[in-house]
Amino acid sequence: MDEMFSREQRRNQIDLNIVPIMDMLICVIFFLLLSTTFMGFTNLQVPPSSVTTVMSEPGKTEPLAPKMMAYIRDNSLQIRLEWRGAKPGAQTALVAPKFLVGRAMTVQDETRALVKKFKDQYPNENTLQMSLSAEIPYQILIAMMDGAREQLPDVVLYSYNEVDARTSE
Amino acid sequence: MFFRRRPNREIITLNLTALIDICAILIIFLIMGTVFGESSIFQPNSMKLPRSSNTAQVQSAPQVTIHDGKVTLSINESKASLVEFRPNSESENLAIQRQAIREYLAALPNEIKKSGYLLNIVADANTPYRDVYDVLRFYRDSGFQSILFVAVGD
Repeated sequence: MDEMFSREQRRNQIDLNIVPIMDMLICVIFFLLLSTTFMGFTNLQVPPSSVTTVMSEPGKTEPLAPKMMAYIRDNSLQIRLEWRGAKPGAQTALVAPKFLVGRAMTVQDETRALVKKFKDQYPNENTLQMSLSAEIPYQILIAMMDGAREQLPDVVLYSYNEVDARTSE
Repeated sequence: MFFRRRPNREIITLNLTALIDICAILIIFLIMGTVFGESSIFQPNSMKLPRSSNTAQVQSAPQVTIHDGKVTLSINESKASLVEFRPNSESENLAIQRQAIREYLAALPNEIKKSGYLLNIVADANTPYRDVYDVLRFYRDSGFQSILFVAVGD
């Protein structure tokens, strides 16, 4: 009788040791956090090439066709912006060699200043032709494009031959 | 008297289930958040990309890598030396590559054709402009309409 109403025998509870699992999980989290790279890539786009024809009609003004070129002269980088049109003009900026290392922020700032002056004068112009001397590093091109594209979004690259021919004169 | 037993201390039990749940979710989040997509750019270990203040995102497009005097096209992993890209250089290797590009572009779906053929250029920050321009001119002549310069953003 007593056996019928006696409490059930307590079952054996399995005790799971989760401490090593937690250790492992925390290690995995740290590993993932440390191995993640947060480097963001960006890109600069050169617009599709197009052919434009210039009609030499009397009474119509010549297009501005602004050109920016960079070359080394007297141990410093010279950035020259020139344009044609009714009132042709040119501006030049100099960047000392010590500012050409790393991201070349000075090149970007000087380019931006040149382009801004031009844009203030000709607000409707949106295209800029750009070239560098053959040996100038790619980073300088990127810095110049960064500086120019805020004001003149359509940047078209042209050959280094013209810049080198002009600077060797 | 001196050997009397100490009273039993209370054992505090900590419920770790919630903590384990959070850890597991964090792991899943980190794994899912890692980008293994098509837009990732292949960059050789010794390459130092230029830096840019531009904030535009990298677009999914074939890639050309200029590194150590070699130019690699991602479409068919074909390699060519920079000398082959010089003006007036008649390289048979490049003629084959040009044909492969044309076939690749012709096989692209119409949606991509409408948006234009893009090409990512990945090059060392110290690469001379001559090399970048010569490579760019070849690929533009081969059919790519828009060139994207890949840089490291701030």
